[in-house]
Amino acid sequence: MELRVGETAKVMKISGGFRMQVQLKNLGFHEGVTVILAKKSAISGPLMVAVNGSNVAIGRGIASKILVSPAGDTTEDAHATDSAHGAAK
Amino acid sequence: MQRILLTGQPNSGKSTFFNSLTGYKALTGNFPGATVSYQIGSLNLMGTLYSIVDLPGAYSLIPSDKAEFETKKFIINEQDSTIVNVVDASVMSRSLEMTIELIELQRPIVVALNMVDSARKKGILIDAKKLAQLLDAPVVETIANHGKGTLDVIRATHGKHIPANATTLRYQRDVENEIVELAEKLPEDLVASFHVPGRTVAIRLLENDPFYVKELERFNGSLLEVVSECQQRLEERHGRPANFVIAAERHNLAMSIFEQVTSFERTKPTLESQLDTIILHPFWGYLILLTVFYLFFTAVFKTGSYFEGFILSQFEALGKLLGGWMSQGLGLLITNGFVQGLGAGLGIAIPYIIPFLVGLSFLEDTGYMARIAFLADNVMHRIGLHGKAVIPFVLGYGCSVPAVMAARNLETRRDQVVAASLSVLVPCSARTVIIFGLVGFYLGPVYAIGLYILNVFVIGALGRIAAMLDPRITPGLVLEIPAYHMPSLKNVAAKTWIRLKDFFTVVIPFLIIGTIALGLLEYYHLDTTVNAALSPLTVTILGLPKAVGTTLIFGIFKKELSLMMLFQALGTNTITDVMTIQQIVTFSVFTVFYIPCISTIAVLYRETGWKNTLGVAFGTTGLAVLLAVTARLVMGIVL
Repeated sequence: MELRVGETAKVMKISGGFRMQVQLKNLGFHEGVTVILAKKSAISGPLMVAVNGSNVAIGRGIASKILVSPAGDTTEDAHATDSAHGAAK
Repeated sequence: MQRILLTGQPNSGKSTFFNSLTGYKALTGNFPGATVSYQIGSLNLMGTLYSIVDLPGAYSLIPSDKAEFETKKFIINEQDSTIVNVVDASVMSRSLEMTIELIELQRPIVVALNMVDSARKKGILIDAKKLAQLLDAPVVETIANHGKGTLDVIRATHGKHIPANATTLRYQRDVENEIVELAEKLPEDLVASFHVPGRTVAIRLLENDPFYVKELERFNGSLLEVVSECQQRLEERHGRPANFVIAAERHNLAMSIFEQVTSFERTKPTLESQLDTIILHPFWGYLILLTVFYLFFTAVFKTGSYFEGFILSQFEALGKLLGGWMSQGLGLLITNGFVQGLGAGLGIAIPYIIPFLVGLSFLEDTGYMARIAFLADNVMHRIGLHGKAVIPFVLGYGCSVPAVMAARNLETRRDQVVAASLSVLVPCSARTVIIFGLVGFYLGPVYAIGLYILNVFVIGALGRIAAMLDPRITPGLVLEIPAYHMPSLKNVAAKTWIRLKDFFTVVIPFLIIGTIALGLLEYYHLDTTVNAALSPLTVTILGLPKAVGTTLIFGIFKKELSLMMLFQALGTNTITDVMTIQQIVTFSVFTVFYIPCISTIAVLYRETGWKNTLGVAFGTTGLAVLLAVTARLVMGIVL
C-alpha cells in the first residue's frame, strides 16, 4: 500500500540488509510502531516519516522495504511506497 | 581531576551541552591510530577540576563503522570516568535504548534529559523523578541551549553511583537464561579485561558486536562456536536472528520505561510542521534553497572583501617598513616571505573563511542542513549518491579539507570515496578568490557564474561516470530531520573556532613556507628553470605566458597563491596588459580543476588511502588540461 501524506500506518515488517535494519531501528522504526507519512517530495524523492515524535527522511528505495498496514488493520501486508522505485536512478 | 564522558545520539544537543560547559578552551583529540576526533575541555567548578570529553554522536553502542568502533573502545577503556548520557527528551523512547546499553556497562552514569522545553512544546511530559527511580541513575533536566541545568549534571556526577541494572533491566526469561548461560562460559580473565560485567559481554556477543567478537577471537577462537550455538537456540525459538531478538528485547524494555514515565498533552500543530510544508515544498523549497545559498555566499563575500582590503593594506605597510629597516639580501627575503605569507593567510583566507564557517554553523544548528539533504536527495541519486552526500559538496565551497572529512558520515565505503573525491572539485573559498579576483574582476560576473555552472556540470558528469563504473547502488537516504532550533551564539562561535583552528595550524604554515620558497626560487633564479620545465604544458598546450609555470606549482600549496603569484610572476597589477581574455579563461579553468592543494591531499590520503589520492591528483590534473584546452579552443572561436 502506498501511504498518502498525513496517513497513519503500523510497521509490519522491515526487510533488507542487517545494516539498513539497524539504521532504521536506531531511528525508531520497529515492528508494531505507528508511523505517519509527513511529507513526500517531488517525483521519486525521499519521504519524510514521523516516528515517535521525530521526523526521518527516507529514500524511496528504503521506504519500499518497510511493510506497513493501515493503523488498526493487521491482516493485510502492504508497502510504504509502490516497490517499483529503485534506490538508484 | 574528574573525567566525564559525554555520550548521546546525533541531534541530542550533546555538543551544545559541551560548549556551554567548556566554551572555547576545548581541544581536539584523536583516538590513537584513528582519524576519529573528539573534543576535550576542562571545567573548574567550586575548586574541582573536570576534564570533559565530547565523544562523537552515535545511535547505539554497537559499532557499525571504524569511528564508532574507536569510540566504543575509548568508553570501555575509560573505566574511572563518569558517563553523562545526553538524551533528547522529545525523542526519549528511541534514546533510552542507548541509555540501557550504557547502564549495562556498569559505570557511574548521569542522564541529562535535554531539550525538555521543546519536548513540552510537542506535548511530551516526562517524570524525571520516576525515570531516575526506574533507571537507578540520577536524571537531570536540562536546556543546554540556554545553559540551563548543565552544571547540575556535573554536580550530579559527584555521587559516582553505579545503577543496579541486575534488578531493573531484565530481559524476557528465555533470553535472559541464554545470556546467563553464555556469561558463565566466558573465561573470567577475558571478562575482567573489559571491566564490564560478564552478562553485558554475553549480550553483546549474542548481538555480534564486532568489538567483543574481535577480542574473543583473539583470546580463544573456539569460543566463537559457543556463542553461535547460543545464537542458534535463540533463533530457533524466536524465528529470527539472535541480534534481532536482543534488539527487540531492549526496545521493549525502553518502551516499557518510556510508557511509565511519559504523559502526553494535546498540542496545536506546531509552527514547525507548517514551516516544513514550505521549506520542503517540491517547488518553493528549491526556490528557498537557492535564495538561502545566494544570500549566504553574498554575505560571505561582502564581509570577506571588506576585511580583506583592510588587513592586506596593514601587511603591505609592514612589508615596506621592513624593507626600510633591513639590508637587501637573503634575510630580508625570508622575513618578507614570512610577512607576505602570513598576510595572505590572515588577509585573504581568514576574512572569507570566518563568515563562511559562522554561516555553516547556522545552517547546521538551525536544522536547515538536514533539509538541504532532503531536497537534494533526488539530484544526488542521479550521480549515484544520496541526499546526505550533499553536505561534503556544500562544505566544499568553503574548504575542501572539511568537505573530505564530512564524507566519512556516509554509509558505504564506495559512497565515502566517491563523495570525498568529487568534493575536492568544488571551488573552495581559495579558488573562489581566483574566480572572482581574475575572471569576475577582468571579465565580469557572467563569466564567473559561467565557471561555477561549468563546475557543477563537470562534477555531475563525473558522478554519473563513477556510478556507471561501479554499479553498486547507494544504500539510500535515512536521515533524521531534526527540529528547528534557534542556534545559540555561544555554540556557533565555539564551532567556528574549532574548525578555524585547523586553518591556523595547517594552512598558514604552508602559506608562509610557500611564499618564502618562491622568494628563494627567484633569488637563485630557479623560477626560470621551473617555468622552462613546465613550458610544454603552459605554453604549448595551454597557450599561456611562460611565467605562469611557478604560479601553478605554488597553487598546489594553497590555491589562492596562484593568483597572488600571478601578479608577482608577471610583474604587474593589471593582468589584461599581459594576458588576453582567452588566456585568463584558460588559466582560471585550469586552476579551478587541477590537483587539490596539499592540505586536501593530506586529508584525502588519510580518509581514502593513497591509491585513490593518487588517482584524484592525476585525474584532476588531466581533467584540468582537457577542460582548459577546450576553453582555449572555444574562446578562440568565440572571440
